[in-house]
Amino acid sequence: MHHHLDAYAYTNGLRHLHPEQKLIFATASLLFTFLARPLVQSLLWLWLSLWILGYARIPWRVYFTLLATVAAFWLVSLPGLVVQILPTETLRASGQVVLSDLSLMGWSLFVSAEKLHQGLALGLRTMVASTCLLLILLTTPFPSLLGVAERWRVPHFILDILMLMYRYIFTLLEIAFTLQLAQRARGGYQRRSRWFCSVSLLAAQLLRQSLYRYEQVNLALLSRGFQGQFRVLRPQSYAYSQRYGLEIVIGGGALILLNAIA
Amino acid sequence: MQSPEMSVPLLEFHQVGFRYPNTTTPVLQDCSFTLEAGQKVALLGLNGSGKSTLFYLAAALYRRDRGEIYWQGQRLLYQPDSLRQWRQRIGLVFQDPEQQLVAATVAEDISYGLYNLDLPTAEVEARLYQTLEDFDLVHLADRPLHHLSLGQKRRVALAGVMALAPTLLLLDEPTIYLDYQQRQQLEQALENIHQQGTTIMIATHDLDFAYGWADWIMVLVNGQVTVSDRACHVFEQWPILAPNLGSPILLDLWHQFPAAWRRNQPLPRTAAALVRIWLKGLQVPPNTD
Repeated sequence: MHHHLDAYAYTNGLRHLHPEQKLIFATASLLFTFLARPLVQSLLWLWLSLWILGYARIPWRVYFTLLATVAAFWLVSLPGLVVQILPTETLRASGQVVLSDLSLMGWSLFVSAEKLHQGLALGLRTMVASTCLLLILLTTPFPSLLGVAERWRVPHFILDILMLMYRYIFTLLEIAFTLQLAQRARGGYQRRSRWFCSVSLLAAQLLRQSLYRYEQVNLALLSRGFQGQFRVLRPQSYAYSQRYGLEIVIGGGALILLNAIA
Repeated sequence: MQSPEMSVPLLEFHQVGFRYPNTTTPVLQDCSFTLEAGQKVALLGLNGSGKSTLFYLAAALYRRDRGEIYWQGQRLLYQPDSLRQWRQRIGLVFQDPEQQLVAATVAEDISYGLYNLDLPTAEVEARLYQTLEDFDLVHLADRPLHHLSLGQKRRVALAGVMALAPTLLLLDEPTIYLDYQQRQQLEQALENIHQQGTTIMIATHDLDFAYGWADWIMVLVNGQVTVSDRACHVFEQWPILAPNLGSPILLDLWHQFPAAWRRNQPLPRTAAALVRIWLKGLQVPPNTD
């Protein structure tokens, strides 16, 4: 089940588009998000959504569930951004436009129009920036991204660590999932006290298995002649697309122009 | 005429001893055996008898405490250049492929070992595609390893080792968790590898597989090789030589046959051979369908 997101990267409609082209588009969009006005950000979000839902054919349920998760984090942090506390006299003296307030013992708990505006702007920017990342996450296999990073001369030790992490994160998840099933089969997680006990046992087992696996991987690397650098061949079966390239140039140009005149 | 080098064993353990750190009991003690080129060897033994440890020592992944290990008469020296050559000659397929596959995709994993040989990219590419074809993995080349089934992972692990063209292939419990079809595929793959001139040694609990496949049997008991002989000789005296290991089902059935049927007959190594002897014993003409 936890492989689903990763599986979309291998089966989506944009899988044959060169990862460099997608990465450049997503990175440029991400940077533009920080400069663009809200209206242009909204248009950019619609455009990115067209790529994800229309061109890549990612199921809308998956896409909106991921966006909802991002939105939930934003909502949780929103009160901290918009709700302020000041002495009532200071608040009156400041002349801020207050949308709602609650005064008690000389202190005011209030929401100002300016902070609410900032919170909403931050929310919109968060959603668009997350969409840029989702475009990469859902349409590009991780090993292909490593291939691009290698061409962009990212230091090898970083790529080695990233590749091993990608390789073993799923193995670890699989082990955790199987162990948890085994615990449930024997009545684990049924009461609160047993829940904590089960989780602690699971964590201990995962640590033990990770250490064992580390030793085994070390042996496997040695048996296959590891010499300190993790070199692999990354066959490329991708192509740059003129049609998508043209859309990026025209669409991007139009948004930049709109941002300048709006 | 046989050249003098031909008589030198491929691999030799001479009174090898090994103990894991912080333990008191040695896993291997005065372990000696020789392995000739071209053999198909099954190493049998109970759990904890030291089969995997013996393989790790043979592949120079662990360093022996005592004794010597030789490759074609040359002593194993634990020095970087020597180790590199040694590990290229002896390929080890681990029991759990999950522990052996280290890269992100099938093609990347197979190419990993090739780059460690310092081969140029063009040759890595050529050998990679040849290996993908040999092991019927072309359609899985770009697939991430965590999307593969256990049988596919085992095939990739074997392919990754065979891409290095080892002279001796060691497989630790290769039949464990395999279904009938995957087992048949493994048997076929091993046959192809052997026909190409690679010596193969497997560590296994699977007596039925060992009985049908191996031409040489070794039995490891308490860290020592107690039996090392031709499979036909070993299985003729099997219950005496290895009373704790159980018995292959074909051998069990064979011993149920009347003595007259078994007289002057070689041990049947396949079900078909057993049935032929049975039909002959019953004086029923075999079905020629």
